[in-house]
Amino acid sequence: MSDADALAKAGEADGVVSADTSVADAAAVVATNTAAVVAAEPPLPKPATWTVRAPIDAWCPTEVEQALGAVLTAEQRARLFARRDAVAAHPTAAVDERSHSYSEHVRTAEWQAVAAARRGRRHAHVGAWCEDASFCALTEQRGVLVVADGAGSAAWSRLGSAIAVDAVGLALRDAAALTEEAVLSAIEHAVTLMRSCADSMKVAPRLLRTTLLAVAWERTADGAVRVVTSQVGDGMLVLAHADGRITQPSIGDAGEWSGEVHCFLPDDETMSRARASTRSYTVSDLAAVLLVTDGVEDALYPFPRHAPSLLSQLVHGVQHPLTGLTAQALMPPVFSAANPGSALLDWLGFEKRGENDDRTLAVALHHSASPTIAPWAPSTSA
Amino acid sequence: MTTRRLPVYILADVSGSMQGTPIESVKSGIRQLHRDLLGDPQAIESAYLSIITFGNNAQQAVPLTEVAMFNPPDLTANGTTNFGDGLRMLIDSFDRELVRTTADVKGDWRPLVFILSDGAPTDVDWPMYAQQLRERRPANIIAVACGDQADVNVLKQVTENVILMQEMSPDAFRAFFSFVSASVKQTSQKVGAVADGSAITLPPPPPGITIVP
Repeated sequence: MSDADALAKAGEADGVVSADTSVADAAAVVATNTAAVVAAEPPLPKPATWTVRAPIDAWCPTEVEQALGAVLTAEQRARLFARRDAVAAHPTAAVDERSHSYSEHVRTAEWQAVAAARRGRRHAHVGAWCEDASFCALTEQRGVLVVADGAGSAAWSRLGSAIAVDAVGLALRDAAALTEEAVLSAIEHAVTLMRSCADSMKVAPRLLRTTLLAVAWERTADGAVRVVTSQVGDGMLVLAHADGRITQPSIGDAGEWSGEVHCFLPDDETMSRARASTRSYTVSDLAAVLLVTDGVEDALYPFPRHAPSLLSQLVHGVQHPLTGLTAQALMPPVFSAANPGSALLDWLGFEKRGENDDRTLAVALHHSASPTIAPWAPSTSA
Repeated sequence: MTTRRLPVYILADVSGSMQGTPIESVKSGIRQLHRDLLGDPQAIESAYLSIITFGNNAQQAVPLTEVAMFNPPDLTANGTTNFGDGLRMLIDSFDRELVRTTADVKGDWRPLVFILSDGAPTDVDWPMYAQQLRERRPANIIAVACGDQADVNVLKQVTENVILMQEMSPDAFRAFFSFVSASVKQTSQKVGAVADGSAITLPPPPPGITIVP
C-alpha cells in the first residue's frame, strides 16, 4: 500500500475522507485527528498506593450458611461459623492491614502449635476476603496441621479452603491410626464434602477450589515420631530436625511460570495427585513442622533455605529483617507471646515487592527444640 | 530473592497501512495504558511492559520495563508487514528477558502478549514462528485484528485468542487499550490463579470489539 493509499485508508477509518481525497487533504485531516488524540490526554497520575478496605460481600451469606448447614457435621459447622465470626470481626475501630484475618493456637505438654491466615494486600485493597485457611490441633498423642489456599478465580474459594482444612484436620485428628491410607481417606472425605457443599449451594464444585497441605504426627512405642504428609497444589511443607536439618517431604505442584497450579480440591484428579504426594516417615529427632501457602513460600523462595531463619525469628523474635524482604518490623518472639496467634499475624505482615497474596503459616514446635535454635542474624544465614 | 514480574508485551504492526490516525491512536493507547496501570499498586509492583514493532523489520522499541520507569515510545508507521520478524523478535525477547522457575529462583508470571495487526503478512517466514509459539505456548497471547483488512486466519495460527476490532478510529483504539489495561489489572489481581490449568480469563471486550470464535 502506498503512502497515499495509507493516508486515504486512515481517513476512511474515521469516516471523514472519501476514497478520492487528495493526499494533502488527507494529511490535514490526520493532523487534526492526531492533535485531538494528544489534546484529550490527562496528565500522568502519581503512582497509586495500597489502601485497606473492609470486604464488600458477606463471608458466608445466610442462604449459603443454610445450604452448608444441611451438609456439614455439627463440629464442622461450629468451626466454620467460628471462623466466620473471627474473620468478620476486627479488634480496632478502623480496618487495618491485619483485619479480617484468622489465627489459632494450641499447646500440650510436648508441643506448641500456632497457625494464622492473614489477608493479603491485594485483597485488602479491593475489599475482598482472605481465601486461605488453616487448621491446627494437638492432642497428647497426636499433632495435626493443615493449610489451604483458595483459588483466586473461584468465587467461593474462601469457603472451600475453610471446609477442606477442617474436614481433613478433624479426620486426621480422629483417625484410628496414622497411616498414608488415613491421610488419603481424609482428603477423599474433604473432596466428597466439598462436592456435597457445592451441590447444596447449587454452584459448580470448581467454585470452591483450593490447594491443600496436611501433616500429622504421633509418637511411636519406641520413642520416635511417625509423620504422614500430603499435598495437592502449591505451597510448602518442611520438617525441622533437632540437628538443624530441614527436610522437604513432598514437592509442590509448581510449573515453569509462577502460580501454575494444575490441580485443586475437589477436581477429578485430586486423589491421583494426593496419592502421588502422600508419604509416611519415622523421624527420631523431629523439632518443628512448618506449612506455608504460596503467599509465604513465594516471598521466601526457596523456602527450605529460609526455613531455619524463619523458625529462629518465631522463637527469638525479629532482631534483623530476613534476607530479601523489602521490609520487616522488629518484633518479640511469636511462641512466647501472650497471644501467639495474634503475634504470628503480625509476623506475616512483612513486606516484599510484588508479593501481596494472602499469607498462611502453620507451625508446631517441640518444647525441647527452643533452646537448640540459635538467634538468626544476616551474616549467619544460608 | 528477586521480584516476580508479570511481563506484558505489545507487538504492534507499524507498516505503512497504519500511518496516520491508526499509529497515532496506538501511541495514545500505550500512553493511556501506562496511565491506567499507574493507578493500580499491584500492577506498579509486578507488571513490566515491552513494546515490539514490526514493519519492514522488527524492533523492540521498549525492552521489558517496570510500569513506574516506562516511557511510551514514539512510533512511526511505514514499510511492509514483516509479521514473521515480529514473532521472531517476540520469541527472542522471551528467551532474553523472562525468568522461569528453578529450584533456586521463582519465575515470572506467564507473560501476556497483545498482537495488533491491520493487514496480512508480506514475509514468508511467519508460519514457522507462529508454529513455535503455538507449540511452546510461552505466553497468554491475545491477537487483535484491526479493521477489515486484517487477516484473522493468520492470527488464528498464532493463538486461539483472536479478537476483532472492526473500526480503526481513535475511540476504538481507546476502547481496546482499556481492555488491555483491564486484562493486565485482572491478571495482576489474580496472579495466584491465572494459570490454574484452565485457559486465561479475559475481561469482557468493550463494544466494537468482538471475540473471533
